[in-house]
Parts: sequence; structure tokens; C-alpha cells
Amino acid sequence: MSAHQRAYERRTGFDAFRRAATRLRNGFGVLVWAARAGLADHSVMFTLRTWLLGWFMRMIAQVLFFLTIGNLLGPGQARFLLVGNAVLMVTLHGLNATGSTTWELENGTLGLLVASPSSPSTVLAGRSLFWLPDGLACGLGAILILAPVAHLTLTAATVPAVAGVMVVTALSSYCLGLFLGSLVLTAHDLRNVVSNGTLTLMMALCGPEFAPSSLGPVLGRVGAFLPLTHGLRAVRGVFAGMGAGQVAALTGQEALAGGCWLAVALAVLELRARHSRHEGAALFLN
Amino acid sequence: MTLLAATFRLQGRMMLASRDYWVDLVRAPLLAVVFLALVRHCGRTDLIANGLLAPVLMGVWSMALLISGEIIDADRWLGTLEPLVAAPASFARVVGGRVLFTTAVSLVTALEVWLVAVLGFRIAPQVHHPAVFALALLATAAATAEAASLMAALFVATRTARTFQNSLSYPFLLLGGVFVPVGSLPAWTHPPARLIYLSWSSDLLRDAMGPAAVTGVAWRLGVILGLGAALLGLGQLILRRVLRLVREAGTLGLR
Repeated sequence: MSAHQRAYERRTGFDAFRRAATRLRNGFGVLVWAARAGLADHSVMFTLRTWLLGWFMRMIAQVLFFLTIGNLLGPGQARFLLVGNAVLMVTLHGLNATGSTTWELENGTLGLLVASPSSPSTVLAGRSLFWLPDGLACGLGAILILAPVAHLTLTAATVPAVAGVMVVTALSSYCLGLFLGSLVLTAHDLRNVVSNGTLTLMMALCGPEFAPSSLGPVLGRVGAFLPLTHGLRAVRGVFAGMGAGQVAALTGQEALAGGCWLAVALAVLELRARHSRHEGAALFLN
Repeated sequence: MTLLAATFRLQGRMMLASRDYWVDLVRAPLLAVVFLALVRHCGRTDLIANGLLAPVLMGVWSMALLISGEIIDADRWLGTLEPLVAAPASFARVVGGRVLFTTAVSLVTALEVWLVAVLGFRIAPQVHHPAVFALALLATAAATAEAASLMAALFVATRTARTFQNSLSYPFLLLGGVFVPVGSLPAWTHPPARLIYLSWSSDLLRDAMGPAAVTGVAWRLGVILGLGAALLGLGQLILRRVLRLVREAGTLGLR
């Protein structure tokens, strides 16, 4: 190979790398703008006062509802249900992405997204990210406020560890929410049915209310493929004094589950967008 | 009677057209699975009645809040509010008929939960006092419809109420004692809880399922109906006032 050919290959390799970096930077920019648009939606729905006195109090009331059931069931159950339902709040917010993904159709902006040069799946993946801090505030808030009621001991070491696992659980739940949103993108009257139905199923399959194994050998294992299951086990492990390695392994499994759901969600969104363009129905209405 | 049939037909068609209205009919049987599995897992078979009643009352309350409460608001978005108000039929009766239909549909959750118990858990729900149970369920349905009428009026009267719509679910379910009886909650919660008709309904329904004799049925039914009637009266008052104000100001569709 001549020196001229080697210089040419180096240059084309560098160009490809530069193009990929630019694409990545642009994609990140689109994601940030989509997240900012979603945040604007959130600020239309809630002011700080209505969020705090309405939404946040409702979430705390839901956790308290199950905590009181725990008190009725027997010793230790209140603590079990407090932790389970507080982490469930994080998942609830992640699954809210199902509904907010379909808002683009209601706003009349879905067609514009398909027609735009950026990937619609990047926009849709970022437009509901505002639910994550909301869910973390509710989940962590429930534990901090209700821990004394359930005699749950909080230490300076457990709270940051629990918060860290909750962040991963929120992200993995969000990925499932995005996948469900991609399925009901054009059937927006199904969004609440699908997200609420899935969340209630996860209450049975993922362990926030009782050990999933009590549902039998088959149903007891379904939760392993869903978000929440491993993250919740990690949070329970933190409170039970489990080793950092085991907690990290469970958190890793939670992240893996989320990653798989994200890959499926992006694939479905990309396929639907391509199909829409191909059919000339740039509104996903096919 | 023709008006009532027409309101039933209208609400039925609207509920069939939008699958969003089915959310509680999907959620109630799944919640029954959660509650029944929970009490069985903890070996508390004495709490099966609580596990059966909770998803039904949660479904009935949620449908009142989310569907009936939104009736007038939905009309505003659909552009049908103005012709409805201008029509010779009483607007309050039209809303009342539609709320009644929604409440009747919400009682389907009782059948769903019964099926989950029988088919999924091999539990045959026992109602030792069926007459008391039926009367309590009817009184609860009536009070729910009356509460929903108040919410429908409130959501039109003020935008703030609409913001808090979703927030009225679990606080009311908690104080309404739908799973944990109010008697088992801290004493300071009893006065506000007893102002909520659900707390009387859930106690009476649970008592009707148990083998012990149920005492004070008449006055307890009276309290449920009385609290419901108070909510209805308040709702009618607000609705009349709002309609008068918007008619005078000519801002019906703008409010």
C-alpha cells in the first residue's frame, strides 16, 4: 500500500468518525430539546403548589394506604409494604411515559416529527423524561416521610444507596413505559388502560406487595423480565444490610432489563416511523 | 323517563367510543388478584372480605371521579355544552342521568372481582346477610352518583378543582376505609373519615359479609344516603350558580 493510499484511508476513517460524533452530538441535542419540551408540558400541568398539595400528597396517600394494610396484616408487613410501594411510585411515574408519548398525536406534532430530518424515536425517547425526577421525589419522599410510621430505620448510608438504586429503577421503568407508548402511539384512548393495567400487573408480579413466588413457579418468574423486580430487591437488600456487591449486581440486572426494553421500544418506534414514511401516512395512522 | 333513557344511551355510546373509560374495569380484577394474593400470602384468610370489597369500592370511586366528574368538562371540550344548556330539558337532570349510568356500569367491578375470587383463588365469597349487602351496595351507588354530581359541578366552577381531580383518589380511599376499617386507623382520623360516606359503606358492606348479626342497619343506611344527599344538594347549588353566572356574563364556552 502506498503512502498516498494510507493517507487517504486515514482521512476517510477520520471523516467517518467525525460524522458519527456529529450525529451523536445532534442526537443528544434533540434529546435535550425534547426533554425541555416535556418539562414545559409538566409546568402546564402543575405549579409547585398544585404538585405539592395535589400530586405529591396523592402519592404519599397511596403508599400510606398500603402501609396501613400492612399494619392490619401483621408484624413487619407495614415496613415491607412501605418499601415496596414507595419504589412502585418510581415505576408508576416511569410508566406515565406511555401516556405522554401519545401526546404528540394529540398535539398534532407527530406528523411533523416523522417529516423532520431528526429521528422521531429520539424525540419520543426524550419527551417524557420529566417524569423521572417527579417519580424520584415521590418515591424517596414517601420513604423519608413515612419511615417513622413503619419503624423503618434510615441511616446516612442507606438513603443515598436507596436513591441510587431508585434512579436506575426509574430509568428502566421509563424504558418499559416508552415501549408501551410505542405500541399505543396511534391508539391514544388506550394509553391509560395499558399503563394502569401494566402497573397493577407489576404489583402482583414484581414483588412490591408480596413475594412473587407465592403466585406459583411460572407467574413467579415473569417478574424477572420486567423492570422494578431487581431494583426493588436491591432496595430491600440495602435496608436489610446486604453486601454492596450483591446490591450492585441486582442494580445491574435492573439496568439490563431496562436496556432490553429500551432497545425494543426504539426498534418499534423506528419501524413504525419507517413504515409511515414508506406508506405515505406520515401520521403513523396506518 | 324518555330523558333518562336518552342520557343512558348517550353516556353508553360515549363509554363505548373511548376505551379510556374502561381503565377501572381492567384494573379492578387485577387489584383483586393483588389483594387476595396478599391476604393469602400473609395467612390472613379472615381478611378476605376486605380483599374482595376494596377493589370494588376503589373501582366505583375511581369511575365516579374520572368519568362522572368529567362529564360537563368533556361536553365543554366536545362543544356540546352550549346546546345542552340551551335545550329545554333540565341540564342538571341530563348530567344526573349520565352520572347514574356511569355508576351502574362501575358496579360491574363487583362481578369481575367475584369471578377472580371463584376462578383464580377457588374462593366462594360468602355474604351472610345478602339483603343488607344489597341495600348497602345500592345506597353506596346512590351516594357515589351524588358525590360525582358535586365533582362534575366543581370541575366546571373552578379550574383548580380539575387540577386536584387525580389527587382525590387515595386520600379518600384511605379515609373511606375501603380495606382497613376506619376503626383501625388512628383516633384523630375518625372525625374527617366519618364525614366521608365511603367509611360507612365499607363498614356496612363488610359487616353484611360476616356471620355476626348486623346492628343499626337502618340508621347506617340513612347516614350513607344522608351524606350523599348533602353532596348532591351542594352540587346542585354550585351548578345552578355557575350556570346563572355564565348565562349573565355570556361566557359559557369561555369559562
